[in-house]
Amino acid sequence: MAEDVTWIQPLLLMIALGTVIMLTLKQARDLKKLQEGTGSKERIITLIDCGEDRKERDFKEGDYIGKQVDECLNGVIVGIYAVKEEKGKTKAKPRRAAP
Amino acid sequence: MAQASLPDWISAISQLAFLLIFLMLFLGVNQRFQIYMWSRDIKAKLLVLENMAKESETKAVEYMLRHNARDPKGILAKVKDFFLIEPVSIEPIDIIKRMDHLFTIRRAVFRREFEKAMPEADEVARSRAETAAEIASALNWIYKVVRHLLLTGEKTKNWILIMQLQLIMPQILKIAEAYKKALNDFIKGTPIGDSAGPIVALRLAGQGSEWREIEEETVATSTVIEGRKVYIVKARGPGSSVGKPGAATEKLIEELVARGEKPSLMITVDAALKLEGEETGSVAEGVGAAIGDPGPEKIRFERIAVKHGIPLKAVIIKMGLEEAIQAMAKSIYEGSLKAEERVRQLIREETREGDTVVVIGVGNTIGVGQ
Repeated sequence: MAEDVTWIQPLLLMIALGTVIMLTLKQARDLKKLQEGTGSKERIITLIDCGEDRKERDFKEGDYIGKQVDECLNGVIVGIYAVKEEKGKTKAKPRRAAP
Repeated sequence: MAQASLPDWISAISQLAFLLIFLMLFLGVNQRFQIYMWSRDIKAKLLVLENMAKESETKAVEYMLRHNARDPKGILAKVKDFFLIEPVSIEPIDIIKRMDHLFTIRRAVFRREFEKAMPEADEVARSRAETAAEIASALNWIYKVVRHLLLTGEKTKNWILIMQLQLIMPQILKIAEAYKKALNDFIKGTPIGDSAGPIVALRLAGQGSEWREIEEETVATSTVIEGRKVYIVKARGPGSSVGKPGAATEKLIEELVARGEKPSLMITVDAALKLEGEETGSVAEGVGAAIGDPGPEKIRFERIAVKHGIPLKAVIIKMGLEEAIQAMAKSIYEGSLKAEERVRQLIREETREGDTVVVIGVGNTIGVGQ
């Protein structure tokens, strides 16, 4: 006996409607992300040359490469750069950098 | 046994819906629907661009207010609508001079306006405010152009225009996002990717060198590297400036030649755009003037090198467009160290002891002093 297949058409329509709704929601979510900005967090590091060793600390406004600082004897800022912030990592204390 | 089937009205509605969809395909309704969806997508993204433009204006105004600026909104409005008409190019004679003249006027107007608006601020703060206003202006320009293209496409029913705009929107948003982030970095005063050239210049000169202003916002010094006298040129930092490296080098070389010290080598060091897939911070060497200006400065390097028969070499540090205008990434900083080493190697290999060399660190010197 032939099976009743009349449910296929409405099912297809429902699937099409569902897809449209899902795509619209995805678009809205993408736009929200755009509004919030996608840029990952980063930390700006100031690298200070203390003669025999080097020290790293967070960037402070007014820092620039070539500036003399009194955080160590004959301290000079030799580098300022951004590093991507790792998830769950808190602000680092000043530490010695590899020469 | 009778099988359970859907009510007749559901079946009728679904058949009617399929028939309508089939008919609409022939009437081009599907295309109109597609255009409608694209326009909707562009409009939503346009809103994002508008917010970015407004946010950047607010930040620029706040920065100026922090430095006791008078009428920051007024000056921002002026910068936003300021334009420069490019010189006639179908008559190329003296086009560089004409272009240089127009750029000089533009720079002078901006400087004067910011000096008037921020009399209590120092030069560094003023230069940052100027750049912040220019970034806000660029974001506003991106927003206005996208809006113009969308409205034109809708008005003239130009589906192709709308389609192209929709396809390119992710790229436009990426650029706008980069500008937005760059604004924060300029306001903070951190070196940006483009500062790699001035960093190399400063490292070659060493700490405590005596710099003199040789051209507008451009400084020069000299040092001795492995028995060679090396003259170094860069923009005056740590404010946001690219200086006039071409004019400064031209002047310096004429001075050196006049006193019988003709340089044996000229090296320009600059940030350069990488191709997708290339490593950020990688260093390459080549021939020519490494500088991304529209012409007036670059041609000066070439002309002075040709006039005195000086080999013109270039060392570049590769990076993406976003990386060039945002806070310097660690890989670019490390690239500048490699570039410094490459310059020293070039000096060693291509000149002899007692020779004179000119090295120019090209790029924005924000966050890099001397």
